[in-house]
Amino acid sequence: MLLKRLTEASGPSGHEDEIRQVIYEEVRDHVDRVYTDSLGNLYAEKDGKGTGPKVMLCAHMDECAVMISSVDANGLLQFRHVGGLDDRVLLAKPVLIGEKRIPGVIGSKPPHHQKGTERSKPVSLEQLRIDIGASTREEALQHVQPGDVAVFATTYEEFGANCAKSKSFDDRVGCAVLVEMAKLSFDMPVVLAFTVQEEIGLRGAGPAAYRVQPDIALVLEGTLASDTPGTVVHARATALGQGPALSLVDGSSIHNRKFREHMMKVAEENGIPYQMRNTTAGGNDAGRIHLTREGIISGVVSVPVRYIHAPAQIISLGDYENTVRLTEKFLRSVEQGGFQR
Amino acid sequence: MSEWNIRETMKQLMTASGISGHEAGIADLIKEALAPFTTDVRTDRAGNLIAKVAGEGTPATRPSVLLAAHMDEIGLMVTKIEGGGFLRVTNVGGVDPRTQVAQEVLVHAADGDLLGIVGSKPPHLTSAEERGKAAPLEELFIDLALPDSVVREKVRVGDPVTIRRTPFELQFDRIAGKSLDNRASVASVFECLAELKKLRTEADVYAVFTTQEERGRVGAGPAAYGIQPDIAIAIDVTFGEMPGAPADASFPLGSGPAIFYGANCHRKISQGLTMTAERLNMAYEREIVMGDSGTDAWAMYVQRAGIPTGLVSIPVRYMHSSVETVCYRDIEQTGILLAHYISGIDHAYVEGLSCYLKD
Amino acid sequence: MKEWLLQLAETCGPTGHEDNVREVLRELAAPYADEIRVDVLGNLIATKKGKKGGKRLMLLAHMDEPGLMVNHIEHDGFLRIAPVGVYANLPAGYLISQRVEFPNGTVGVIGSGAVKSPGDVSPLTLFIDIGSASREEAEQKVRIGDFCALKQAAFELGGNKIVGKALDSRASCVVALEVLKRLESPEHDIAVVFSVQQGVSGGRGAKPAAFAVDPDFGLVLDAVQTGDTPGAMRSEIRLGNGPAIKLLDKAVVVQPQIKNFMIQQAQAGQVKHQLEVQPHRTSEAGGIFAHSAGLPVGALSVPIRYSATGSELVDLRDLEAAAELSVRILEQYNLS
Repeated sequence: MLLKRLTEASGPSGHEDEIRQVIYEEVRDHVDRVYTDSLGNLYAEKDGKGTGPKVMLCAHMDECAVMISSVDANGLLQFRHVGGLDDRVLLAKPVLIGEKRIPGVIGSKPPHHQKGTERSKPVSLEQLRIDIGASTREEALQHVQPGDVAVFATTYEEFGANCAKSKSFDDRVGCAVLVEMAKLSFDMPVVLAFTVQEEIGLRGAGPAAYRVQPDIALVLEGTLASDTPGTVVHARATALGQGPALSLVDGSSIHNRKFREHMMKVAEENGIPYQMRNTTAGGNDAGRIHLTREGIISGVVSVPVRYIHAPAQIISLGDYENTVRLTEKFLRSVEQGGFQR
Repeated sequence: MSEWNIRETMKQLMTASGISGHEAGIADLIKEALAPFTTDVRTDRAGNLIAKVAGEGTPATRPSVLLAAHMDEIGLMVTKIEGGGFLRVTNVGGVDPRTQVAQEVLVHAADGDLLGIVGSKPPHLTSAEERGKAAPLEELFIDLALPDSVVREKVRVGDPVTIRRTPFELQFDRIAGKSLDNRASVASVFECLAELKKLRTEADVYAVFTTQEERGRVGAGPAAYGIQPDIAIAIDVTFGEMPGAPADASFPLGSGPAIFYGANCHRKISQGLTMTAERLNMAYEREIVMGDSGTDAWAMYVQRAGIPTGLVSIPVRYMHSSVETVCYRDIEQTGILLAHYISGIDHAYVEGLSCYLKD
Repeated sequence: MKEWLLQLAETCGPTGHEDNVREVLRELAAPYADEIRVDVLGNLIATKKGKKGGKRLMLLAHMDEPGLMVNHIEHDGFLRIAPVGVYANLPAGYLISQRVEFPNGTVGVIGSGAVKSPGDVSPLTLFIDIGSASREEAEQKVRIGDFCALKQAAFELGGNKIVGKALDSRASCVVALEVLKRLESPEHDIAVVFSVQQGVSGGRGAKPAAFAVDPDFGLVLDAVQTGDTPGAMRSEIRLGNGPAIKLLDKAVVVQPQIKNFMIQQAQAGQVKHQLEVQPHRTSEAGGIFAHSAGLPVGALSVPIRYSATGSELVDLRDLEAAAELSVRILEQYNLS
């Protein structure tokens, strides 16, 4: 199952090796060429008939994770963030460290040993430790090194009402959409760009856009869904089950209105539900792409994801399927000359 | 390397001044010191000083390596002349106001440098409460001991200000002074060029002394964009180990260069530098950071379609103060490490940097 | 310039939605430009050919003003908003009771839910009342994703001053227009760029424009807050003392050779001028300086009072001096 393979693969920012290889193996038989650049971005190119505008679809391969920073004398591991993690989601979670996927647990003081006031405060990063079962520094160093990265040990599972949980739907769900597009044929050239290091500053996207020089770019993301208790309606970003979310504004872009209106038209003509991404928070690869060279017309379509940047994320499989459909129909509309810049 | 007395050049550079955006004076000194190594020296549009040392490989395929050491330093800038001839200032780069109090400074006015003292209220007139708080930069002022009219004639808003400090030689090969960030790295580039004279090297080497790093890595991006090297390596300073500094993010003086590992640098370059150090039996440290390294390397890696980047750092204590302290041997070793790494670079190595897939 | 400024100040052009302003500028610039085009992001670029062998110079002024985005429409017709750019950094209370306008002409008033103290006002408590009684009625005029800006009449004050909203940076746009007009047969190729989205992240439109134009030198026109009102934050800038030659802002340190050249031109032309060191604000100068292989850049700022409010104030004599100095700088530019 594609989403299972993609979300369970490991790929912290700067260490996207495993997920890159998985995606490579998914697409290589369906495209005209595949290659990487010096940052580790993966490009899969479909030449089509070679005429028409060049479209770049973009999704980032990297995920938020943690990195081992030092080993205590007692064999416990200190760690730091890779990407934007809230410390509160780290407590009492299992992780898998490094290429060999060494299992570890992020442990904390039991409540029995905590004072009343302590229990109302989050455990700070400095107090958290990963335990791999070693009792001394030497024992720990037999299995891990400072610099090793660790991902959450979440597995993919479908549950609830046509939903799925896993880690890193942000942005393996976007990668999945691109993989699905790889299997189709289009008249115009399509480049599928799987970027690196988005979570630590949108690093891979600018060089990718500079290299590809597309006429049009569409970023596929997993974005925050905040349709959960404790959020006022007008502070909600997106809601599960209401279809792919079209971006308006975020921290890195004020999105192109014509592009969005075209996307809405494509959705309406094909009976695909959609919603607006109502928050201005967050940022994504489009932020770099739209300002590359002389400027590139771009947009973002996202699958809503609950509990983004946390170990157990949830998507609606209906939203995912609708996003795949919308992306395909969008590409068809470009192919048929329906999109005017 | 003693014939070029790079250590003395570094001390000369430390005494001179060049705050971000005002590096021309430093650039002139560097250009002079480059003479034994190359005369192919130019300045680009962002003010970066670019010195090329040609390699011996076939012109069509020989690789190019860019070494980036920023030549600017942090300092102050005059914002206002108060009644009485006292100067108000703002910071250029990350200046801790506490390090400025009671310092002797030089105001670099159009017609020459003026000596000043950073003034503050005498202890007799400060309450205990006030003494418990650090004065922000807005409350500091510079006293030139000149009448108001003379100050207004000689000094202009925008004039740069630096701390007046000549370097001190401490024990055990250590040197203390201002702007070891980043004159230490500039010196290590010279040490590299000196060592390269003893080696055979295919690659063209661009020794680039970048501008305005302290204000956001401004000069390095344009330098790398313009030169388009196959490999770019930034050299900067990192935190020297001392009480209170985090153990995983600080390095003992005298333990050699700190080789960067992390998303900001190309893994094969980090590994290549490490293998070179091991081959030379050189002491070195690993600096592991997952995000922004805080150096020119962050700007260079994402230029154009991506430029493979590495970073080597020299441990310095008391960073961004006027008593920054370094062990000179670390500077020397950094230069030697870079030279030997560079001399091992060929076309095949460079091609391999874009290869990430396994078949 | 006065008529141009009064018209442009009242035109609605929030960040990212500068269409109306661009149309006015396009019409005003057309008689003086050899060519006019709009790029992918919405920058308006007016070019004029210079003498053979000359350089290519770029003059830049941003068209946008701070804006608010509609992110939700209540069932009873009130609009919820998210501030974008400058307004995201100001206390939300500033916006209460402001009149706003959308590019399609819809107008409204900003209100807030009741709070215990003024500091409790936040973007989440604010809303816009456009006089609609239901969501359906509101949706006839406004959609989620639409942006609005302040609505204020512009007027003359005391003979040579203008009060209005968005004078930062419509005043610079007017100066740029005037420069374009005065450069009938310029020495060098001139590209006047009216840019978009300066109000976010220090400027998004400017870099792609600079990439396309690829000039030898860029002169950025913007505005700088004065320090000449009671209790003002420390600043040497005074209204009426001429354009400020920028030395430093949050994103740029102007190179000494450029600073000296500009001061020299001001002195030679006996143009009133002052010097700007503004460490707390950005302009587009930093972004274009560091773009591609680097670009020598200078900047002139029109002194402005009450910046980022509905009643900004400029002195027309400063605009006149800014135009004169800009023309001199562009005509005399001879740095390598």
